[in-house]
Amino acid sequence: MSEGQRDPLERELETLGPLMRDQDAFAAMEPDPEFVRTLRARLTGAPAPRRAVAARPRKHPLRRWMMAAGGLATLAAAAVVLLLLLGRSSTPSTHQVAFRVPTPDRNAVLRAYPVVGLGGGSSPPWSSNLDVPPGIPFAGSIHFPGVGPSRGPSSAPAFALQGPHFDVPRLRSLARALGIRGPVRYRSFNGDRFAYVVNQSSPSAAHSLAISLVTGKLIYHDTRSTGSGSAFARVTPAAIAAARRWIARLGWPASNPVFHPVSPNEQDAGSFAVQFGWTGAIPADLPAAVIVMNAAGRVIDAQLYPPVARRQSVSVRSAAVAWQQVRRGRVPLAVLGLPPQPTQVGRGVLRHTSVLALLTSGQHGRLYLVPAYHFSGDATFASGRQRWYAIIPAAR
Amino acid sequence: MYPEADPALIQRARLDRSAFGEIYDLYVRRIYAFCLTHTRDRDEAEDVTAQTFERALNAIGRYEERGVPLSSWLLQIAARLMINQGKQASRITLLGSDPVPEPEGNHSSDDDPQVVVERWERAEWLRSRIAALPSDQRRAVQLRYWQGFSIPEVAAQVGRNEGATRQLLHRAMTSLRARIGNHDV
Repeated sequence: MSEGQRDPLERELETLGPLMRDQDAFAAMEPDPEFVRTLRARLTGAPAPRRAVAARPRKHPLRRWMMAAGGLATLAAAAVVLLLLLGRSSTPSTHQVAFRVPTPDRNAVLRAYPVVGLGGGSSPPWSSNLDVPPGIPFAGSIHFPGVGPSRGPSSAPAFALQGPHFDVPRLRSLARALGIRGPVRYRSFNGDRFAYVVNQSSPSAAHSLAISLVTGKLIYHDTRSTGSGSAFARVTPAAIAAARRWIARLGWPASNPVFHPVSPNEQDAGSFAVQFGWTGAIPADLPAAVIVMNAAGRVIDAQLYPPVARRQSVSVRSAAVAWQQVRRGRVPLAVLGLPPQPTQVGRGVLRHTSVLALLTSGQHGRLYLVPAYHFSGDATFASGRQRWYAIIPAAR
Repeated sequence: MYPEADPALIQRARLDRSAFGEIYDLYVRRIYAFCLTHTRDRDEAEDVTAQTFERALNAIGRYEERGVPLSSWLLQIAARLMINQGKQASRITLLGSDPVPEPEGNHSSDDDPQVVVERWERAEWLRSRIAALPSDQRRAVQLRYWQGFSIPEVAAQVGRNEGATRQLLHRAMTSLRARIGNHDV
């Protein structure tokens, strides 16, 4: 049957089908009740309702992935951001509607803590190998007899990330640019919903691109082959440049500094990861982008969060007050070089106080970078001297 | 399909903001869903929803029904706001039907708020008719036309062979035509 002879109803269903699908999906998403109440009060001139502040648990699944022990040290190193940096990073626009800064939950904090005993595994398009699960805090305790930090700043920057509108509309063109050809499909997974494309020409091997419709996080897999050759037998500036070109090609900001120097992936000696920090934000607990490449220089795995959209200053409690929480044992501690168990008691010294940003889910799964104090130093245990750190949300 | 504000309430809302609050209660979720579907961003959807009702509050004195229900009028305000914001932001505004449009598509009809709203309302209306189909027919139609699956893919999903799937879809279309009745397609 030619196009002109086709049933008009069928043609209309084909045209409007995707819109009906989206209507069906989005109709179930109720607006934030606080937004509805506040707007109503504004429109009718009634007194504004009291604002409820509630942390929303992070929705994301936390995939199993081996974090190299060396990565812990680099994490701590990356967290050392002097307070002097506050307010001086290149900033996104501040001339936008203020956003509600969410409170990081325990899992958001513990993602910056040591992780042990993780495994990889095959990954469907909507599941990232590069998500970092919450770590395990030290089960022992540290006594801090010395003096604490000074009061510190009264405010710190928080950042709202772009939502899924940043990349979801481009899913098809992004997939095409990466050589992935197939229909756009949808899948719900662990409270998130993904649009994804899998290459149909290689159904037995995963070559896929998925974007979260909730957060905008992009997940890329290419396991068609492990590749060969020695383009980047070891980490080189050329490898970093190649990773930078890859994310720039997809439309992500690529001028940001490398988060970690490239670290080899211990799961597969033939691959390595390049991690990029956040453009327009202070250093964070997690990289903005992780690009895993094989020895031939081909990207085989990637995870990219949407870029920073907005920045605003938030009032923070003093560093001295936050430090008291650490001293009293009310904040999880990380001790490098010691297993979390069994318990040990040490005597510690605070060496550095800095502020870093914690990646945190806000209302409706939208992602934010919110400020947290990062205290670090060394401690003496019966087994020797070790480095420790503690992270505590800073916003009041 | 959805309740509409009666003329008396609209008349009161021109003078009384609490009556406008009743109109707001009636439409806010529908406007929000419209905005969210097109922006795919809760913050943006909230922004556009708020601007829509603020403009409506200022303009409701000039609203005349003339065959355009209040819901369509509100949806057109929202569509116009999103189109303008999309132009200002120099990025694709998702006013089409596909969530993943081509980067350089033809946006001529998408730039017309009336066309956008008519398409939205038509899709809502068809959706309500599809929802009334028997479950096996509804699922087949949704897979075929909402998800864009081929006949073999639909067959795999519904657990039938291709011939049986074609028959199922044929019955669904016949049933749908009967439910649509005299409405033009």
